[in-house]
Amino acid sequence: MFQKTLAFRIFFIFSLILIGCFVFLPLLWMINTALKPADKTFTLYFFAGELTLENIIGILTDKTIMTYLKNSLIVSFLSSFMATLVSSFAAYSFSKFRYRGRKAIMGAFMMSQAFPQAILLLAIYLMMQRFHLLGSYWSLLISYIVFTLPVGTWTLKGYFDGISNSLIESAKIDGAGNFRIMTRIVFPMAVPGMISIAIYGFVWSWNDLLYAMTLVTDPARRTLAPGLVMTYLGEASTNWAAMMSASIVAAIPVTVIFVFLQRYFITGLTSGAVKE
Amino acid sequence: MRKVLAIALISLLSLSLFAAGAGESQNASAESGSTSIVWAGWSGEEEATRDIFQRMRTGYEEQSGNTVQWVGWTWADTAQQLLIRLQGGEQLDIAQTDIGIFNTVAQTGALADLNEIFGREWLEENFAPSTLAVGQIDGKQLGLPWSMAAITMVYNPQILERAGWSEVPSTIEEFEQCMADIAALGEGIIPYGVSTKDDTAAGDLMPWLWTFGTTVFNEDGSVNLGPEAVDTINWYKDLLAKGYIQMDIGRGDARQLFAQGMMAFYDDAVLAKGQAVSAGVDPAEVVNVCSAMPRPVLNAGDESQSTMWGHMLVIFDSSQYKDSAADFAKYLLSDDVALEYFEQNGMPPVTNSAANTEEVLNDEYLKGFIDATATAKLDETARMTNASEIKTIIVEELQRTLLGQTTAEECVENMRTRLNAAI
Repeated sequence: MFQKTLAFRIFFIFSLILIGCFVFLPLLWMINTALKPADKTFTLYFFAGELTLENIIGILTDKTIMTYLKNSLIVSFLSSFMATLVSSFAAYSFSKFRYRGRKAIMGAFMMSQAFPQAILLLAIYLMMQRFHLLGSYWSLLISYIVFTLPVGTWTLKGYFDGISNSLIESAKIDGAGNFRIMTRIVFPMAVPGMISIAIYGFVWSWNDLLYAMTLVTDPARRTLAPGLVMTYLGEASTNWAAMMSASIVAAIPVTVIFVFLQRYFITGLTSGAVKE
Repeated sequence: MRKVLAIALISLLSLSLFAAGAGESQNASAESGSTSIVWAGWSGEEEATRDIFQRMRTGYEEQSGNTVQWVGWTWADTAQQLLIRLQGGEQLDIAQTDIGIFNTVAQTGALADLNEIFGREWLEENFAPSTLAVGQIDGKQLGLPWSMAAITMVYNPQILERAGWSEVPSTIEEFEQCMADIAALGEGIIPYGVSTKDDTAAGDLMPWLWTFGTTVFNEDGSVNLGPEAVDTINWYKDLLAKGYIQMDIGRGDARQLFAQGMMAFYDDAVLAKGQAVSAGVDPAEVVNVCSAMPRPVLNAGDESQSTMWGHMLVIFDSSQYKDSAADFAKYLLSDDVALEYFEQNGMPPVTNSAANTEEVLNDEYLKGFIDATATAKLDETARMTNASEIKTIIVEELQRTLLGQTTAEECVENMRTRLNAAI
């Protein structure tokens, strides 16, 4: 009833515009700055003045930036894949097995999320150093898996909780082992949840600056976020036009992935929420 | 179809893992060289200085036979990253620091006394005492000056000329009149880009406090902020009300606006040139649009105030290759290398021999900065371990007042209370 009133419609449209401004204005501002000539960065006009693709072409033809992009893709794809895999096994274990210490471990998983990631940096740095992993992709992969694991495990646990135990029992009666049940019966039913975790892990590693800058210092293996900041936000000068252009290029893979997988992402996030 | 996808996925994973592993082994071999020193900092990563830093390294490598491995971060993160690397015991032989970072790193006790490495005689022979003093803490020479000048005021002569000013204002009264004339041009030019956000706002406020006759701290480290501090804050408020300064301006914003001819004055170091050149100004013509000037004084005859700025080289006590690091530092300070750095990036050399070459002495752009250096003081937080916290307090209280949330008196009182708790 309330939804049909004029007051609600006004409120709805006003809220939509307000939220839209907060969400889209910064993005449009970024695109606007990227399309302006570098010497017009601080000249105020919004798509209505001199525009150029020079900055974006400059980024796309910059071999160093493309190396950073390649590195980011490798690290993000691998870490999201591995994090999803590990989260799935952990979540399945928490959901379908009963053993001593299960709840304590689950609590510890969640508690690890309570600490700011910056606090863990030094400990992780020392561990990577001890294992001679500093400077390699592995240092980033392991870190990103660690950070994705708690959310991934808890989300997927909720998902697996919703899968009937009788289905698993039936499979056992038919002679299937635990691994077969997981990989052939349970995981296929949890694909939306797993995809949502994969996207979460991908975005996390794609956007990370602190760990990427600390654990990998070799420019040949540097990822995009630190690469862009180091290149364009310097002590002496700030090249906003190039920075914004590079940010657009950097956003493309995440956007493409999200557009294609958003159906699964939303289903994945909501399906595990309600136990039926 | 599923099998094909699975095989493709496994192949991709294997290739990627191989790539990850390959990177690791290359890194290990690069660090295992016995004559390889590690040089850390930030300028080797930045667009404007990346090439010259590369040339410095290769030049030294060809000359000495040693190798120099560069490890870089952003300027803002260098102090934190140096500390992490030190904590981890990773190889670190020589690093670039600036005056702000220098103290933070020095307080860890990780820096070698350069008197022992270079010899006091060599240092005194090659540097002016005031320059060496910037790198001294508790009688130890922990920093080797590399490039130094003052942060002073920079102005655009063309804008001033349009506003009817053929000479720079020398007193605050003249400065205000000059800003009024610039505002009256109606060209949308911001008269003065004093920093009103981030740490640079505290850095810009200090020389104005000194100009008005007070300091943040007394010599014994206690909080000063005399009545003149209220005058300074009220002056800021007045400038803001008249539209001569603006909120939300940081050093980076001021540089860009200034380089685009949208700002008449702001505070900066010699690095100002780099942004102007990036904006398309011919390096030889920079002085026409970007010149240094003495900060206006309260009363004619007062001493103009400016803050010391500079880059230093430090050598780490834990380094196994201190001699090679010192050798490399001497190479960086050699006249040829220092003068090339000066020509390319405007970084003023500091050794007596390089600083007194005709090329440097006759450089019109540098002259204003060098003149200001004679009376420049260290930022009052430069020797504090919690400099960032102190600056944050100053900036937060200043911003609250400029936004009209507190009066100038409350601003100074709040600063005093919070600073007392922080020191």
